[in-house]
Amino acid sequence: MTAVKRPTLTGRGRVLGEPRLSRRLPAGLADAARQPDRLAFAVPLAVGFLGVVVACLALFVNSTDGIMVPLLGLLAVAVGLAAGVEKARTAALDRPALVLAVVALGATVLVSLLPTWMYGGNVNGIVHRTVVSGPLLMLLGTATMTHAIRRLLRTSPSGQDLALVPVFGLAILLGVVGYLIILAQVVVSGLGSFRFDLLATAWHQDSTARGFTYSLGFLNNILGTLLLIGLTLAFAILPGVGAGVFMSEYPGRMARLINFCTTMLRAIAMFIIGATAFALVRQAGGLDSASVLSLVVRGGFNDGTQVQPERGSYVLAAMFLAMLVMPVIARLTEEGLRSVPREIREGAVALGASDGYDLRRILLPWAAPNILTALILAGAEAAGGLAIVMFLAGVGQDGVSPLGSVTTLDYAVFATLYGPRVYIDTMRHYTFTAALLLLVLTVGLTLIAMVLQRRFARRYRGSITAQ
Amino acid sequence: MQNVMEVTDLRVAYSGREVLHGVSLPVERGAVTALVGPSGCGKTTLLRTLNRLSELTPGCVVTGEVTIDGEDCMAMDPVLLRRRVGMVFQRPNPFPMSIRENVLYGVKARGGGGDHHEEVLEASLRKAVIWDEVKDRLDDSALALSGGQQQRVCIARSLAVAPEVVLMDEPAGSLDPRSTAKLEESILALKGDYTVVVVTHELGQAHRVSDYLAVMYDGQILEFGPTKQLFEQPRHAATREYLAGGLVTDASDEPAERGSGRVA
Repeated sequence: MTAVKRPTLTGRGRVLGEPRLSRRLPAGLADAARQPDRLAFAVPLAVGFLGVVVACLALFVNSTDGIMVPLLGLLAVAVGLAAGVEKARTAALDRPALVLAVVALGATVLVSLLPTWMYGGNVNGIVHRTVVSGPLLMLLGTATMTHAIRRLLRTSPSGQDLALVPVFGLAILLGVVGYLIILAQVVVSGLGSFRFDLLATAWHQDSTARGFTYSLGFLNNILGTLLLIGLTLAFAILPGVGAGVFMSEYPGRMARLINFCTTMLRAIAMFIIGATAFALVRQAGGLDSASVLSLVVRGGFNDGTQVQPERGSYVLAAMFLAMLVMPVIARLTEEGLRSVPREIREGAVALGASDGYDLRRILLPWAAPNILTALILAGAEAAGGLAIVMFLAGVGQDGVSPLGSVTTLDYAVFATLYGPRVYIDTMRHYTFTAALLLLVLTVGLTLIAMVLQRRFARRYRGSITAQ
Repeated sequence: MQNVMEVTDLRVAYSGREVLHGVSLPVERGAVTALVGPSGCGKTTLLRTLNRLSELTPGCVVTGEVTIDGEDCMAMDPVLLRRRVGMVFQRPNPFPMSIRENVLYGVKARGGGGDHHEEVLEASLRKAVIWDEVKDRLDDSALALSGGQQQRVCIARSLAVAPEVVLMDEPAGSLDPRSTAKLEESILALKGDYTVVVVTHELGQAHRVSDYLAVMYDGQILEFGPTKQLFEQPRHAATREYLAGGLVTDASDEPAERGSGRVA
């Protein structure tokens, strides 16, 4: 019996020829070694590599300025010379190399003169030059390496593909190394001041006869983040999935309109929407009255005698976050539904089932992994949507209830640095602890999603078949 | 001779390009009617118009008359029509569910009690000549079956809702010779109880399974009649040429095994 193999969203599809670029290296190098005169391009390759390395180091080492400017110049000279050798040998003009040389030369001149032009030669000019020359060196170095590899391995078609390696390398460098640095910072600093009782205590201020005492902790922020995620998803899931189903299953003018609106809504700054909403609410009843609308918008708590206004509410924050994440859910749902094979759709239709039944039994289960991804993304966005929450819903330090002001982990990160005086005084050592908790929460959610996704894909798409 | 379906002067156009130019065809109750003809002659389009599946293609315009038991198919709810006219596709398309859920999908979609589900399940699988192979693994995924078995489960699935007519679009198109033989066996088993309309590009198969044959060419029916008669003494020279050519190449025309997988 044959195993059914077909592409799925969770599968590892591969389109290009050889699985690993590195397997092509020996053949490519052997090819280059047979024609030593082509080794002129080994020099720019080496200089380009050195340039990228130095430019990366510049992120951490302050005194690289003295190396980066000469390296840019060296790059220009090396590429230019290699192009000259190539011209002498084959009489063919290597136009890309010349362009690279000219650009590198221009960059060298620019960064050399920059401090004098813009800063009158003072120390700020030197610092800013480092900031400019780093990325320039990184990009030009990568471009030079790519071109040099193409020239070095010219006669080997398989070797030509190795020219992609520097580009991939840069992507990996920026994508992986950059994130690893941030991760290391959060984990190291966060763990340094971590105590388990921080998880079980809510920050609180008590007044005593001698003054104030403080309980330190993140319990309220953790619960607040979870509440905000939950409320946001509760508001977003039905319209999001509904819009996705409509766009996929009933394409037409109305579907395009929905698509347009949700996309535009996301593009418009949420602050503008928030300001509009505030103005509407003000007209509708005023923020100080105890109307339901005002309660939702402004929040409030009953102190035993009457409703006291709060600084904002989870419900309001969640409503706006839901508007923000709805397009993501809609788009991913649509994508999941479109990936249902035509044969399966037609098979279901031909059995005389109604659209609703097919949707429930086949289409939505099939799209479940996508919808799950969308929900996790939406949850992560809600967990990190501090700017919107602060502007629209107001934040505070303590208390977690749907109509209370919002207290989330990302607010804790912010407030330990720029929050109320007392909060900074008591919590300033715990900035990265809050960041770490947020990270653990998000990573945890993502891991759960990955496990569920795999299970759903197996269950509803049969992507792994029994023998 | 009693006709369950009747097609009269049917014209179908996709985005303004007409692919069926006035086709008329009677479908006799309880018989197997085969549609044959070269690729692109419109036989699949004709088949897909019988259960109005062609409407799913954007830009498809159908004119002419199709009736079932004298009722106008074009005027009735397409979902109701499809409950009376089932379909089996060229590629096996089991749903990613258990064999049991696959066969009962249409039954459950219709609602109603589940009292007879087990009986319907067994009867349908028996009718499709697959019961003995799957009776011990009804709750396994249908995707774990071989292509030929999947196709017979798909036949059982369409039989489970007790349609009057079963349409088959090159049902052996992606099967190896042995699976094809089994499939033909199950088509023959349907004769009498069900009306079958089958599209095939393999003339040998049409010869073996069908009672009536319609030879199509370029969006028209060249000749229609009892299969035996058409093969022995066709009226038109073109039909003779086509049928003779087909039979000569028949031996080497067995479909290559294309693997049992579905393409997503």
